[in-house]
Amino acid sequence: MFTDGKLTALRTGNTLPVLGRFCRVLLLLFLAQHFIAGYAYSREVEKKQNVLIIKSGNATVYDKVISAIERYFILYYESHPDICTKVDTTSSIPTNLKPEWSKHSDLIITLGSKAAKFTRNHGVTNKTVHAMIPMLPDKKSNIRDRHFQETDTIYLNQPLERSLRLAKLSTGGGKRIGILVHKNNRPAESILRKSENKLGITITLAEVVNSKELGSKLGKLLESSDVLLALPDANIHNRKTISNILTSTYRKQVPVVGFSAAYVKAGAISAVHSTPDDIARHIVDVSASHLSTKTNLIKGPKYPKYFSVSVNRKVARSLGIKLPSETHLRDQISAGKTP
Amino acid sequence: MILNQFKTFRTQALIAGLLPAIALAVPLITYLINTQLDNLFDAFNERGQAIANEAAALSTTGLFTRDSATLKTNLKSIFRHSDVSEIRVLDESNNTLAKINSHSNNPMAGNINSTDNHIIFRAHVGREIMPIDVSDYPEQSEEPEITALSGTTSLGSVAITISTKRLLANKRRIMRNSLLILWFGLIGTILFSLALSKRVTGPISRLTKAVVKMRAGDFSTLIPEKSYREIASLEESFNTMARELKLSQETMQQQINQATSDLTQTMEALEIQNVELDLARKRALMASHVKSEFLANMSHEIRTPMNGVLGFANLLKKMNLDKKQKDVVNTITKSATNLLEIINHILDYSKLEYGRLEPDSSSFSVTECFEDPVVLLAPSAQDKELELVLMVYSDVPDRLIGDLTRIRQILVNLLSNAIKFTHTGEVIVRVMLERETDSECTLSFTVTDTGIGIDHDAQEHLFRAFQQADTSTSRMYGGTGLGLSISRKLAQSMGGSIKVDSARGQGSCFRVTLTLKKDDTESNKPQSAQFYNKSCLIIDQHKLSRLSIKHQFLKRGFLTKDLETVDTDEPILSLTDLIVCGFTKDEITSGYADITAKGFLTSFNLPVLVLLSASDRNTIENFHIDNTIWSLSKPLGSETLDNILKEIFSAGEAHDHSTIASNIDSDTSLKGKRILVVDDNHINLELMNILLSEKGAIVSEANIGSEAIDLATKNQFDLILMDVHMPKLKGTDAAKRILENCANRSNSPPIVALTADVVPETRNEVIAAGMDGYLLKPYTESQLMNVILPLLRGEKPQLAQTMATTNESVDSDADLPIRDEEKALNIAGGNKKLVDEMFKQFCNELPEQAGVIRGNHAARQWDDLRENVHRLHGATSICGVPALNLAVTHPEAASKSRDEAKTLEKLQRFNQEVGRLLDFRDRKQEQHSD
Repeated sequence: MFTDGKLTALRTGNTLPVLGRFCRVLLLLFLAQHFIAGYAYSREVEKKQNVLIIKSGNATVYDKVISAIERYFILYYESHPDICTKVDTTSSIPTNLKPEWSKHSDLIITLGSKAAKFTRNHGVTNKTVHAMIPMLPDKKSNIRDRHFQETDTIYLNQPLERSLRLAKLSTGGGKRIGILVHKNNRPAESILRKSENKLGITITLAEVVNSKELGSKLGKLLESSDVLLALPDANIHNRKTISNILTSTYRKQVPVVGFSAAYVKAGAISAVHSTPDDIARHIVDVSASHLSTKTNLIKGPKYPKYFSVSVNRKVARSLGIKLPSETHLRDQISAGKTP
Repeated sequence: MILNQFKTFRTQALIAGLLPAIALAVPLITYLINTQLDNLFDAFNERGQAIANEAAALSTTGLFTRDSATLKTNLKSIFRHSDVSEIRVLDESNNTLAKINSHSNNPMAGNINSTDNHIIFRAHVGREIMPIDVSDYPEQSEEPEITALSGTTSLGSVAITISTKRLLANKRRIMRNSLLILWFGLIGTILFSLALSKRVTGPISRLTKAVVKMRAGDFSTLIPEKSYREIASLEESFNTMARELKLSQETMQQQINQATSDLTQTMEALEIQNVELDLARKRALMASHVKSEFLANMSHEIRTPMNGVLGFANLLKKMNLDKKQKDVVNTITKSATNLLEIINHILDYSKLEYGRLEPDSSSFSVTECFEDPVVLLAPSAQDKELELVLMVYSDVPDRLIGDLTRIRQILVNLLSNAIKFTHTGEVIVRVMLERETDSECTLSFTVTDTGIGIDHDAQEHLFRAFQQADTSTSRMYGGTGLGLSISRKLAQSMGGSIKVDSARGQGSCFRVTLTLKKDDTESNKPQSAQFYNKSCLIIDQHKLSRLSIKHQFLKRGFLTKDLETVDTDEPILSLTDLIVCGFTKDEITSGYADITAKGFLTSFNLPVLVLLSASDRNTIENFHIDNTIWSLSKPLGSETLDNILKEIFSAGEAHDHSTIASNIDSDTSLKGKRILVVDDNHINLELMNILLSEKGAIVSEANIGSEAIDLATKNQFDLILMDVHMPKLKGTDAAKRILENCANRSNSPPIVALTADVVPETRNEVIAAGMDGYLLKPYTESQLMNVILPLLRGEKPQLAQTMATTNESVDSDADLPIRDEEKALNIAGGNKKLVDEMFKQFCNELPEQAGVIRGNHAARQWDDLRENVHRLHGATSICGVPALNLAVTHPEAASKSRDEAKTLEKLQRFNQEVGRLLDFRDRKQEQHSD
């Protein structure tokens, strides 16, 4: 509403820097396979791998991720001919899967929780990598699901610290970070204190029970915050509240650090998120370990390894906050450096 | 008054200009005002709602955060709209979160209710918030099923209270401005219309006035040409027209003047011509009167001695003369008669040519009308051994209305000619009916002879005056050549005609056709059949004669049988009651008639009636044998035949038969009657004395009028015969004096005028004198008796009946009516009222004017007399009094000669006409008062 939402993306479509990084990663992995025990020995040379990618829906973003996965798989087997010579990927939504779809797949990658639930419900025993799994606050969410605890799961959400770092960097010198949370999705107090100490910030939580008090809670929160950190909680931040939140914060001259590029486009000053390419790269990294050895690697949920930072320069300019480039911010966040 | 003003062109033009403007402007302004007000109100509402929406948009954050301060801060800008008086922010439960008042800007200021001056606009906050997607991935912001914040569509509402003062002010402003515009527009339109109408009506008014002046005759009127375009063209055209009209008027006036001048000259010339014509007319009238007088004098001078000649000749006949002496007397008589006839013809022709002959209309017996002339002329025919037959057809009415005298005159002329120009054979007179209606019939009579005939070429000029068939005829037969001309004129005067059918050597047939009215009186009833049960045998060798005789006996009811000849042993003879035999002169002369008649008498014991073509008395009486043979002359007279038949069929009566050839009253005795005869001519005096003395009258004589007056006054006379033209004292004057002197007596003597004068003036004088009879010289003894006997018996017939039946002259002047209203109407253009007024005034002034004229005459003031008479003449010309008009001309003409007597004479007539006119006026007034 108050910004034009133009996002300066980290990746602007230039593939050469991506390839270079990807090569470095592959190099590291190649070296790691020689020096990480068990990894090199458990590796089994597979010449051709069939990878099935099950996506949760027909959204375009899934296709983008799949395309990126395929690219990364090509780079991978081209750079690791000794591991595999080819990776055939097949993608589909659950309803379009062929009978006995799991038998011919060496690796199943699910994108989204629906696809993951599908494989869980079908008792798939194949190597599976679950990606793009949101961390839902509900008790019945998959975060508590045992299945995901025991498989390679890549969350969609960014780690809290990463967001806090960005929030701090986006205050323009402020250190008070406010967070609206639903009573059902309150972060652990310990994590918050740890982050406060580590980052030297003050985190104020405003717990919202219902939608009616959202505005008032927000108003009070903004009075004691230099920045409002938006966590991906649909109870708080959804398409119906976002404009009010952004309007309110803008009136209070309090920047909002979002959790998606869309949020930044909507009016958040910045956000840390993973692009489809980041997600595909991480998936291939995880998949590569499955492809190279039969032995299981460390499984369990993971936050996205690769991330990007988006900044809304106009919002920053209107709020009078000068922010470095996205790359710099990413590097700072990656390096753990926060002023 | 006001309505009349509305009818003026200017007002109507003004109304025509204003009315549409008003008709258009008022609804337009009304519409515009309404539209503007509606737009104003809509704009106000839209603005109010927009302000509310703006406030709602501004209230989103504050309402979302429930922050009053934020709301106040955000909504402060709303009060830049000066008419916003209050802003109230309500949450979704309609609880007031904030209330901001424009006066104190205190959110908690006093309540402002929606009154007439304020309107509250409401807007929901957060209703139209566009949902913003904040997730990159489908499952990143999936809303939880249970506790998902629904994102209520409405966070609350905002109520904006806006004052309507501005709205009302705008409304008033709009109306004021609109009405001002309307007002000024109308004023402007009125002024414009006034100016325009003035530009149009002004010139038209000027044109109208100019036209009115021009209509009144003032063509010099011009109008100023100060308009534009069409009006200017009209003005210019009008001025051009006015100039041309004026020019044409002047030209016309010049032409009129010229024409008037020419006309005046022409009138003067005409006046001169009129005067000359008037003089010529007067000369002609004078000549006519002179001629009339000459005729009268001449007729008197000629007839008087002729009367003496004939009278004495007849007396001489009655004396014992030898044969030679008788022949000489006969010759004298014939010559005198012929001469008299010639003179009568000349006088008749003159009367017919110069006068207007009005036929008489009186009832007459057709049979007698035709029988008398035929019987009269029978001796002439019999002397030439001509058979003269009269045939009156049975379909001819017994009596008709017409002029008996004229018809007889025509018949006498034609019969005389027929007898004259026929040497052998017969002369047949036929009377027949050509056409008949209920009221009139067309009578036709023919005179057919076996004479010398007339060439076809000669027939063309036969009826011209002084024309005979040819010069040889004139030398051989004599005559004046006026008879047929006179007969034609007489026939034409009665509305009839005469035609001739003839050929040389084949005789002639003259046909006269007259249309006469029927006589519906008792006297016209057909004669009853007196001898119904009698039969007779008619024997005559002449077929037509026999037919004529048969018709006469049939009319009397006889059963007839006619034969040309008969033997004495004819059986029919025994069945008849009467034998009628007709004999020609030859048969008489040869003795055949005598033998035959006596033979019938010897053989049959029947009465015999012998009809002889002879008029000799002795011859006729030779056949008479008492109570056995009776004799009559042919052609038969009805009365004579009736008498004979009565005698024949009556028993034991002795009857003295005598041949009756003319109508003579049976009782001609004047025994013991005292008669005074007055005549300045001793011959006539002597003649009258003898005639009357023979009849047994006691005759006294007087030579002059005064002597007659003296005798009549001193003595008692039974009758006075007075000559009209006598010196010193006229007969009419003497008669007047006698009547005046004898007025005291129980019965004054009847006076008969004797005159040879044919002019009608004389007759008028006779009438005016009060005389009882009128005899025109020369008159026969029978005519004399016919006139005096009724008077001696004490009968007072009308003057017309006592007049002589020949040679009457009727002067046309005397027949002019006293009053001719139709003529006066023609002069007055049909204006009856004017005509009556003129006549009334004329009659009122007439006595005075007549007195002045008489005074002028008495004083011998000839010029004044002529002038006054002339003036009166002019008045009479236009007042429709033709008789007086003509009577005035005589004194006027006479006054020029300065002849007192002559003038006096003319004035007398003038005075007579004056008296007649005034009497006529009085009678008319009496009739109207009745």
